[in-house]
Amino acid sequence: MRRGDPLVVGRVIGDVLDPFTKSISLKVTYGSREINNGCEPKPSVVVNQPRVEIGGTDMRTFYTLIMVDPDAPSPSAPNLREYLHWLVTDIPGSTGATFGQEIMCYESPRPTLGIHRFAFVLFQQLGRQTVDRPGWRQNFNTKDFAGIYNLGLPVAAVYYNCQRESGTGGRTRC
Amino acid sequence: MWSSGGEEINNIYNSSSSQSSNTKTNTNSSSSSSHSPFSNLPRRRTMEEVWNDINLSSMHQNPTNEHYHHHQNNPIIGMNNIQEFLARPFSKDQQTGHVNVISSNNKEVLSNAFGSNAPKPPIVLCLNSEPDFQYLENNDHPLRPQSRFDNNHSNDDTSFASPFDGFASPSGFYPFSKRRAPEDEDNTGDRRLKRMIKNRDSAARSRARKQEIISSLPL
Repeated sequence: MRRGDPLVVGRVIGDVLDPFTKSISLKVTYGSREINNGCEPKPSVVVNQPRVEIGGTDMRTFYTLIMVDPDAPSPSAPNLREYLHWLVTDIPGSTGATFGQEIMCYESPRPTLGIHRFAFVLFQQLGRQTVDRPGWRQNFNTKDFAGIYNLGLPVAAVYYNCQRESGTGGRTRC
Repeated sequence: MWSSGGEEINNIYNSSSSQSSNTKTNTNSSSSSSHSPFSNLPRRRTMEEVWNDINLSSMHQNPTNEHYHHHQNNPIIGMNNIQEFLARPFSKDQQTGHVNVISSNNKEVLSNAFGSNAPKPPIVLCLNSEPDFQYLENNDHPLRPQSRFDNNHSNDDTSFASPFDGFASPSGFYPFSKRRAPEDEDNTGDRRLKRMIKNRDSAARSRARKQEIISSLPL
């Protein structure tokens, strides 16, 4: 089976992002569980904000972290795409999200319908910048946001799947 | 016209006619056979005679019927002869509690008339038998689209209300047949198409997830 970029296969590139080249490492860990593309933790695992460690060498370069759900409220009818779960700016290179400015605090994923994707996207900022807090979480647009604040293309991204706690796991045959 | 009717009734009422008149005609014919070529035949009762017989017998049944007293010897309808009776306008008001829905038949008219005003005389008057009254009055009968409308209003039965709103079932007499409007058929087609598209999207997402899992496996 041909292996493509997981972000493309999972349609994160397409639904949320434009194609980009990964240049910075991005590590997301919930407790002891590291998130890889396409893994499927339960909501109870991801209820609290994860530890996010970013690469880069220069602590004078600042990065913006965005976490969105493009499948809200359901993947077959994502009227609320994208639902903003977390927004942190001014993260110094080679540090973590806790060193940045939390513009929008972490909201626990609570998918009720279907299997949702939850994507972390990292952007490099031109400099320190003041970012206005969005008025609401639903219908956030990562591309537009990047355009407004001159963030350019992403430098890293990772996503996972999540369904409701009692979910049966989706299709059995494919 | 009446002569043929008279013959019909004559056959039915022959038993009711007084035996004396028959024997009279017989003796008459036998005694004076030379009078006419037709004298051998029994004398035919006319409609008038039958009508009078009916009136008289009903008078025995309903002696207190004041309404018709001013009409001489006509206790039932107040009409002098059967032509008058049959010529009267068709209207429900003349009868009590009967719905003249489909009957254009003289027989039914007669039986309706007699049924409403008096208990049936023992004479064979019932051109229609009793069960037919049940048939005509039964509002639930499927062959009566009119009464089905009444049922709709009174019963508040949703199973009837939707397919038959405003018109009788075009397929006629089967209350459970559904005739879908073309609009509905188009909608179901659209719905199916949408459902199919959604299904395919779901399948594609599922395949993508599966591929992710496989690609993350160690080679």
